[in-house]
Amino acid sequence: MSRSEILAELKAMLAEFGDVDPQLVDEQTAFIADLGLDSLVLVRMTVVAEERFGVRIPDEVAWELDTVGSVVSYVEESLSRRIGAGGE
Amino acid sequence: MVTCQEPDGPATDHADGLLSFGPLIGGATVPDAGDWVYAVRASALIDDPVGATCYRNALNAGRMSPDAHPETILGRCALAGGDHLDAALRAARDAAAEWGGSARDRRAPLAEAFHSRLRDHADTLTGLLVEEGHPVRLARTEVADLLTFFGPETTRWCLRQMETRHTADGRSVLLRRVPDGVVCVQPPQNTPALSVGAAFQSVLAGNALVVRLSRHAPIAAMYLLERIAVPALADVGAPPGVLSALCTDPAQALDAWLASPLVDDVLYFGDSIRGEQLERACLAAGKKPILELGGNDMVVVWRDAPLDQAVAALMESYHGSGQICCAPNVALVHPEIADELTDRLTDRVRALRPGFPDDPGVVLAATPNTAGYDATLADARRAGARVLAGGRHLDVNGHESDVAVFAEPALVRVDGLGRARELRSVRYETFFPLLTLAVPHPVGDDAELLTEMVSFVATGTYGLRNSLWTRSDEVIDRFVRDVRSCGQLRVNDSHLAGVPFLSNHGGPGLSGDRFGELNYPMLRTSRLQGVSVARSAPPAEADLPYVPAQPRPRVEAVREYPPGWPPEELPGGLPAPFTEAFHHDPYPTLHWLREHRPVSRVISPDGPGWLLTRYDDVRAAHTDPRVTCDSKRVPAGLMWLRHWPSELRERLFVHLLDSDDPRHGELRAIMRPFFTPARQEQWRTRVQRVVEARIDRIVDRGSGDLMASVAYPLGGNVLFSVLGATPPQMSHLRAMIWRTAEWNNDVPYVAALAHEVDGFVRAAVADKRRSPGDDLISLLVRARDQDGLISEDELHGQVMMMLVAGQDPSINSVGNSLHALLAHPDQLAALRDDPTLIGTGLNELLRYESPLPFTSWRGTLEPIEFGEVTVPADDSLFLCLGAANRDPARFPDPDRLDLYRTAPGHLAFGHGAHYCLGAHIGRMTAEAAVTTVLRRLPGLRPSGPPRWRPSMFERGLSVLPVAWDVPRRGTTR
Repeated sequence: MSRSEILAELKAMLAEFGDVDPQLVDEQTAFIADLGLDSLVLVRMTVVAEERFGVRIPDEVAWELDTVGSVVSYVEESLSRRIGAGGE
Repeated sequence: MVTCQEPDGPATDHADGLLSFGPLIGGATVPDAGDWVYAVRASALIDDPVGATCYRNALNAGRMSPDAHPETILGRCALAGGDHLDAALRAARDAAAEWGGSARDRRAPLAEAFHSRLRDHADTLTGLLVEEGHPVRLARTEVADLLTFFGPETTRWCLRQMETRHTADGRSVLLRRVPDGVVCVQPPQNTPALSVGAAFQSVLAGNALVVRLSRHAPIAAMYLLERIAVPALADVGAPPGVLSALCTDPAQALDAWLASPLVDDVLYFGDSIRGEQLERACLAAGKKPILELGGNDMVVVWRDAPLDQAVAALMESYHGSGQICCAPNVALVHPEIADELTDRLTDRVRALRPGFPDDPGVVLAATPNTAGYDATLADARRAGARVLAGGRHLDVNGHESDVAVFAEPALVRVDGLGRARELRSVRYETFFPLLTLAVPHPVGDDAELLTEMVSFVATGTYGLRNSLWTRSDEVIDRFVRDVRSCGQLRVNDSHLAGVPFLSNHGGPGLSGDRFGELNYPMLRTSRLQGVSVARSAPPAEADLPYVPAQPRPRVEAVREYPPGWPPEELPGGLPAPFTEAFHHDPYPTLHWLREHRPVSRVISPDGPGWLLTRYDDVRAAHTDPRVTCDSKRVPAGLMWLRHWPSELRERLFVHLLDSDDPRHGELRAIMRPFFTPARQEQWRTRVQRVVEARIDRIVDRGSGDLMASVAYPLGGNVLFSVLGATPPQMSHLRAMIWRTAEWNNDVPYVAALAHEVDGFVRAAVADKRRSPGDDLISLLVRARDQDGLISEDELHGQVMMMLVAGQDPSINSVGNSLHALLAHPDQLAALRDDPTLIGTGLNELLRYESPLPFTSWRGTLEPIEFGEVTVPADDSLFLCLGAANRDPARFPDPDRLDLYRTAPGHLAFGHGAHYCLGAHIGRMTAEAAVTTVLRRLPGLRPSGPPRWRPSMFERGLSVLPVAWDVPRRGTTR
């Protein structure tokens, strides 16, 4: 899954759960500071994101991912770690 | 034919006729002309299984009439449909609201009312159970057990658990169990009546019940509910909706319950595997599962057991042909008495005969389904066990038959507990008349034997009930101590018969849900709640004297100042440069210096240096090749960096701002393509969008801080978009960068901040190495990895520099511009009325209140003359852009803000080779922010004192409080 695919999926989830216009979202967008999202929405999104991306996003990690881009990076890295092994 | 339309009529009269039940919804029978299911008397089925079954099928299909063989029919029950299921749930939900909110004392008499009516109807109910195939001895026990369960001992104990009151510190404290609400009950298909009776206890907790009955044996259960429970509810004035009962397809009912928001609990009786599935489905649907699943009870018979009584208890295994969950399935017998017990049991078991259920000498029940009976016995033989009795399929007369409805009572003996564990009849519950005697191999030591036997029981996977027979207190203690894995223990007692206080159901393991325990439905369908009501004013908190327990850890900035710091005031009481008062308003000092000592040796917190305040000197120093930017060659620069970890200092300060030509020119060339005006123009839409979004968040409030609401987030957003970095926590990083750009000497944790910055830079670079994008860091990574134009240190250093240089100037120019306009309302109005004025206006704003009044510290490589003063070599230079921009020799009447001023050449972005690369994007950011704020926030005015951030190089606000007129909805944008 590429970075842009992850971003697109996150935008779709933000639209679905947070009623956020995808055009207003980019990697620098902060969930709470910029979008004013409810923590309940974020928890629901985290649970769904785990399913859709097939990665674990433990609460203590999710807590620190304030921006869309940081979630993209986290997912991207988790996926590459799982596929990679021989990588670095 | 007798119907149930007169529920108060003497029930005994109906038992001999045909009972007819419609769907019971909210305590009333719904007239129904739909399909019926007929119950044929067990005696008829036993007498002629094939004929009676065919007749029942013909009745159910509507092909024959009850008048054909009325004597064989026990009763009938209307099949309920989806509408009935819905109606029952709605009635239950409404009733639960009222009944659940009623006082415990109003509900409690229901137990006695039910008990008393059950006693009155006991014979009839027993009769119906017999007609449904329960041997009369078993039926009597079952009804007696239900009476015991609703007797005073059990009821009172349960009610005590429901509510206790206490007082503490002037408070009434109530601990009570509140009802879950709507409880749906699915009893077992073979013998539902008594399970339904037990489930009825949950009504005492305040719940409403919806019972689904199987089509196989609904009559006794329906009778129990309609003739006993409903009148008992009326006795105590309960809302009729608390009880509904429907005969339907099981899957249809379960699906409807799981999908319905009206259902709280599902009380399910069934097998362990389906139960586990249902538990998951319940949890997924948000329902509390209360499961009554299979049992595989064991009886331990110790060497000193009273054998007659033990044998009698073990014979309970055959009651109802082993279809009762809590009947003994396995006996663990002490080897010393095993042979004698085996002989006695074998005789008793072989003497058991099939028969009609109303015969008091019969304990076996007809079992139309004996799946597994033959296989289990074959398995036992294969495993080396002895089958001492059983194996045949018999008719009621005891003859082998191909349409037999009785399984011959079987007795299996297996020696050795290891072998016993392999037997199917030991490992799993069975539904036919079979008892397995498991005899441990003799060992000399009784203690060892006891350990082995107790452990065998304790590790059983089922969890209903286990028994022990012994005369030894020691053995009893050991058994009670170690067997904790089941809902109930019996010692020297009937395994089956009800005991006051004890429930007949419930247990953990494969016998129940994950919360399985001895099951009092009243308790399992309610939940604990604590209530505290302060009756008098709660006692005041004790007035504890304030005792600072420990010194609070606090890291202070280093604050080691060079000799001569702080300096004295200038003549006329003007604050000396770089002091706190200077930061608040630097211009009077700068004017005085420019006028009297334009090239002045001053002391700064980073040591002495030459402060240049004239426009021409500052501008000339920017292009003089004898002036260095390399902080490691500037005394004040070295001082400024002195608290940075040396490793980071050496590695990272090799960036654009910190280097001289020719390397500076090379570095700049690498970055230049990213900063063409056309390229920077691409950011305009984003900047506009961010500003609009930020203002959307505050526009309705009427007042706020423009720094926190607009300037900070805008600066951060633009910076990180340019970099292509994705900070996990934008505000944390922004605040941190800010502090690292401040006076290091005055910043606590400065080394930690430096490491944090370094960590972020490393992560951002690694990120871009992995997946590059169209951004500045990717560009630098390419310059390093593909083109080999820069070193790794330069790559990291440049990213670090961008963190500082790319954010604060934007933030400051937004804040300073707005601040300047607010202080000059006429200029503000002019700009709002004519936004195109921003073209010249922004340059004036940058001149008037420059975001960076000082450049980073520079130094002389050789002696340099500035006017009449010669600055010696290797000395520090403080180039004051803010002073230059207010030099009256260059800008007439420099302290006046005039947006129409056209005088070009302000030095806010520096000059010469080091002219700000991001000047265009910085200007654009400020333009967008300023014009949008003015457009979106009408009547903008100051609403409190602004605060300047203390900083060495920068001039920027930390707070800019403003108010505005809240626009009416839909009138802006």
